[in-house]
Amino acid sequence: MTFGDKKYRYRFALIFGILLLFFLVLFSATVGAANISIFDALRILVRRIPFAGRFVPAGEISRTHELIVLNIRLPRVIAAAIIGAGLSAVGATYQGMFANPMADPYVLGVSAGAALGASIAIVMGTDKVVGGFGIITAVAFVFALLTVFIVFNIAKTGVKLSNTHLLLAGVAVSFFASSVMSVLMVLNRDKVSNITYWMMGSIAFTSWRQVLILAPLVVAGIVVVCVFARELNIIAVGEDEARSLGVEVEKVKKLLLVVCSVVVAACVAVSGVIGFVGLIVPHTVRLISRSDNRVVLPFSAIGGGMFLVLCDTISRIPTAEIPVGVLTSMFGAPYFISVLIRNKKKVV
Amino acid sequence: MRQGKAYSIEVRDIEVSFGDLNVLKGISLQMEKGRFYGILGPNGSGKTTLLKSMARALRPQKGAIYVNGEDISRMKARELSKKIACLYQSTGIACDYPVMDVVLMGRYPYIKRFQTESAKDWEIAKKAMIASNVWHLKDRRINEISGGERQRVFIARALVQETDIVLLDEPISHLDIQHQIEILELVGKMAREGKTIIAVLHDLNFASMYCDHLIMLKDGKVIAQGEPQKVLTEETVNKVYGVKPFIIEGMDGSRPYILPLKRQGA
Repeated sequence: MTFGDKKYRYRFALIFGILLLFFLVLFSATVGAANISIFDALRILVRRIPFAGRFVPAGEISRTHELIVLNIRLPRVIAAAIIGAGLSAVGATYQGMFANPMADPYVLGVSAGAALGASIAIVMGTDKVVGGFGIITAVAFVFALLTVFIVFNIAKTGVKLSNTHLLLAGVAVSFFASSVMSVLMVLNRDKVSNITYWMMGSIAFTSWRQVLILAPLVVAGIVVVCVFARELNIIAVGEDEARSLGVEVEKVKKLLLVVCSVVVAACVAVSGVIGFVGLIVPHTVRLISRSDNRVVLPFSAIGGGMFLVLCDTISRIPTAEIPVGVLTSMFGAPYFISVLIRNKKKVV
Repeated sequence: MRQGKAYSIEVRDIEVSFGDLNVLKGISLQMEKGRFYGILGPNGSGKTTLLKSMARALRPQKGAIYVNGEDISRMKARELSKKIACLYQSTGIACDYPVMDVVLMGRYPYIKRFQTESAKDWEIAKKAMIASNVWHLKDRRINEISGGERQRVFIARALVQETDIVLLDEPISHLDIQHQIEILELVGKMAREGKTIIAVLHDLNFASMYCDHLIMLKDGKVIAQGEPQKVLTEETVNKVYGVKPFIIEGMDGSRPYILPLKRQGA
């Protein structure tokens, strides 16, 4: 079936997916260590929704419970949805653009750069908060963008951006940043556990202010990427061919690279390195449906959001919280392998 | 502006070099609407570079290329893609798009952002696919069909682009003879229906059989051009390829047929 035949079915599925993600976020905010019943938590949430809230009686909900649900759980759950969506959409874009199934959101060195920035901030002992942001977050964001900027400039030849050069420069710069980070860790052994914990990826301490900056940035990025899905499809057939069809390949690539880099840098700066989401979610979407980017990009975003919210919910159940970055791989890998095996059978 | 007749495509004194290597050393050509041109020459003679320059995939360091008298280097990308379609050597493509979607990509220059393909685009695609005999493949995936079928799908895509000029880079390499003939006949028909067809070819005999006009390149220069019987002479073939041919004349009308001979002492 071609894209056109299924256009309306995809639109319906997309709206359904967005609603599902919305309810998943609500549900996830009712789960946690504090002893708040799901019913109470739902009441707290629904009361905050305009109009609908009027019909929910206030009852006897303690102020602490309200604070826990609204100011601790809700921002982190929303952050999970946004970061998951952003990482998956970028992963899908890179896989399409580089024609490389192994491309993930971190291939251009964003994660290594952010980690280096974060470790420098941790080593210097600046855990101050400026305007709702930890210094660590800010430094990680700046270093992430700086790293990609260096990678771009290494890879650029004239006006052209070669995929191979980009990927190789990304790998080389990543290794360099990681080695500098290792030296920092060796010289500051007392900070090793802090740095390692940051690297594992966690969204446990996300504030509303972080969410309010992260959300528009990432959502706008996802929209831009989805708008260019048609160009990405054509580029995937061949860059020369795309040019002869009137696609301005270099412009499109540069625009998408800049947008994706900002999205990933923002996500990583807030959450640390959450791996695997950007790799497996797009591939799962491709295996289940098809490789048309007009389908893969939006559904990867929604799927990534749902996946990270689920992982984050699970990470809150045990008494000692497990960083969500660990769980994504722990649950994601087996699921992905099972999809892979099922598909192998289909082909043979 | 230039004076005189506006050719379908005119190459005027272009030079292309990659670093120190001069690949095209001053090439001028005039091509007319409704004819099938074949570019011939040994490996490294600059055939593909010439084709890529005409498709603006490369920018010549010197000279210019005009389409109906208009300099292509000044055109916007979408504007150019409504005038020239280019089929590159179709490598085994790594995606699994349905054939219909691949053909519809040819409508890209006509579809505005935030728009999807209209019923009219679908009609155009259907017509092109029937013309190139791939309509029955519309729901198959592009990586599942044979090389000959895939080449016809890309020709359908070029038709859908609705250009006056179609460039083809070795459209029949790696195909078996029945598909080679099928493609050349399809492309020849497109020329008779008014398009300017320019193809890089390797097979001298197929070029002789199907092209109206041949352009023989060697070392970045045009050695000979004109009707097949004028270009494919013993002297030219020997000069360009360093091979002594035996030429059978007039097998198909007046078109020569070439048998390469074993080199002496080899």
